[in-house]
Amino acid sequence: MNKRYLEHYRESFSEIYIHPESEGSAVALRFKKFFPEKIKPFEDVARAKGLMTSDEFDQSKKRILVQPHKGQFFKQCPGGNQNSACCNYFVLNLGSQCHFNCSYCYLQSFLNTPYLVVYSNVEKALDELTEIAERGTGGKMRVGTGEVIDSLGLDPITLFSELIMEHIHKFENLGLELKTKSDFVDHLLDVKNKGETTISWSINPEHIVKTEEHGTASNAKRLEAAYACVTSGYKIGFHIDPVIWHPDWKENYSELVDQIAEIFDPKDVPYVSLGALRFQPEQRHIMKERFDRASYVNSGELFKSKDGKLRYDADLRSEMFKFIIDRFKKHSRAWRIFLCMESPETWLSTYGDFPKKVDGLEDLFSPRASV
Amino acid sequence: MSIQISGLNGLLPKTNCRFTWRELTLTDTNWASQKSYDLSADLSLERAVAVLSEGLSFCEKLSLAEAAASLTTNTNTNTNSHTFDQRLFFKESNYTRFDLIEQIKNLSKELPEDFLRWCALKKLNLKDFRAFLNDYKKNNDSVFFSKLSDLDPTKNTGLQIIEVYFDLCAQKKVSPEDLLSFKNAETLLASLKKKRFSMTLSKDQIIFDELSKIKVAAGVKASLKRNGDKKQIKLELEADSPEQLKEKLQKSLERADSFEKAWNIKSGASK
Repeated sequence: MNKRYLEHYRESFSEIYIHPESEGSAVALRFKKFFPEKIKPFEDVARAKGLMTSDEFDQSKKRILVQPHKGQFFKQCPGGNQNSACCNYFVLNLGSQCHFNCSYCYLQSFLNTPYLVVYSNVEKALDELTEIAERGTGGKMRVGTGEVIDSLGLDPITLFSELIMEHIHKFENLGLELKTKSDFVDHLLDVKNKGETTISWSINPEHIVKTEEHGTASNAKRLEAAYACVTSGYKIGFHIDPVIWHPDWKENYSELVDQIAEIFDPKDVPYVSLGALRFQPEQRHIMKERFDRASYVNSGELFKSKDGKLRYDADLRSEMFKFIIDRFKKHSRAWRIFLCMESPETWLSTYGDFPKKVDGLEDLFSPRASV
Repeated sequence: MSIQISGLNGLLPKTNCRFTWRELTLTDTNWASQKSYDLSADLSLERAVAVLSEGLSFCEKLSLAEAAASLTTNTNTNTNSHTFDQRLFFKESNYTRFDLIEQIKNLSKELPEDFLRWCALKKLNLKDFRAFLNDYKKNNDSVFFSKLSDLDPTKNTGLQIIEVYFDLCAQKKVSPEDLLSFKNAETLLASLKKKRFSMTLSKDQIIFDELSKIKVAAGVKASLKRNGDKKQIKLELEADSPEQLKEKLQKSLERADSFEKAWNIKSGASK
């Protein structure tokens, strides 16, 4: 592991616990090798019900727990429901919690485990992938590992992504998406069997990265890492999500789109997704406790939407989406841009049509496969 | 002699009669003439508190637990080695986040008593305090909380006022003195929301005004209504007969372009 990563992790973690059943696993051995001074005797901490306090949540980002996962690794993305259009996505959770610290992160209302958990029995996840691929769903399945943990945030330690790439390389009906806000890609650039892997970045204007996405790589670093991945043969993706309203949003999002369009060719980027700031109402308290109450996210004008989440006014969302899409299309009509977790009404007011009928997006929104 | 509870004095839970545990007052009553019942003959302190706490709100439980805990800290009292474990008590009451309870306990010692009474009366629970737990500043905000208690809002309105008020304080858009003239909680909430959601609501108001100007026909009124994250045009139409209804619907349809124009009017609010 390179020195830059090591220093980053040494600053980020306070303690590392290894569950007795994970002793001897490859990932536990790597944690022990790189951070011997952080290893603490395993303690089975009683878990309280309900949301964590802000202090507990802060601590959970610094305390690593390596343990086996007892449940199912492979799941359907919760994004598709009666209120939002689904893009046929599946998730493979190889851990939970993230050591980055975004003010809007939904994990604040989702997790109640006081650790950043890394699963040690990754071979079980590979078995599940084999089973799903062999059973098939009649179409291509996009599998992402970045739902409850940053796909690459700890990857230089765990090396999970390379294992999964090597595995899905054997199956034509599986595609992998690694989603990150880091620039930790050096260890992936020389992987031989990449399979159909897309490495994607959640991006935002630098101003938003600085004010709301604490501890993450700068936008310039993310784009630099993305460029390195394109050069080494990966497909890449961008998620401009969450789009956050702020006084200079037009200038800042224009600059972001222009940067992307100048560096990358649409053929290297199968898709760009857009999503506006949204979160469960109960999450707002911990956000206000943990971050500046006057920040863009905490002072945002959000209202309860049909699916229960707090969102910007529907017209403002459409206005922001249209603006960003138009900016991309000014550079090239070939950019494929879709809306993430948005209602059919927003699709209509943004694109004038439903996702399955938008040029270039038909295949993403074909009838949902199920496992 | 009965033990006085510092900070939460006067806020002991109200029951039909006064209950004590030896010299310690555990609950209060509205009836001065009511007799006190000493539970110590039949119940341990822990058991007495557990029995009394059934059906109490979070704030009342907090006062009761503080009262019971004071027995062991009061050096003038012969405690006979009695202890009361607050952590265990709250855990058994299904409040597992004791760190949060500790923070609320500390906060409650600084909050005005009239506001604490309101909290107890409206049965606020643990999570309701999270709206302002980290933002309370004694010198300024006690004025706000006293004002809020005076207005005696419903629980829902009161919690909304608290949250919006602290949001606006962080944005430096309000001070406690701004609130003193309000005589009604609903009006106060509407005024605070107007500031908190100023960009969206001012745009709504512009569209509302434009829609109100559209002359359709007598007895037809168009306005704007907010439904969560969406705006809706509300068309009110009165007709004395099916013929009149047809005519008014027809005229409304002819104004469809005007409605659309009003809806899309640029306010410049979103820059």
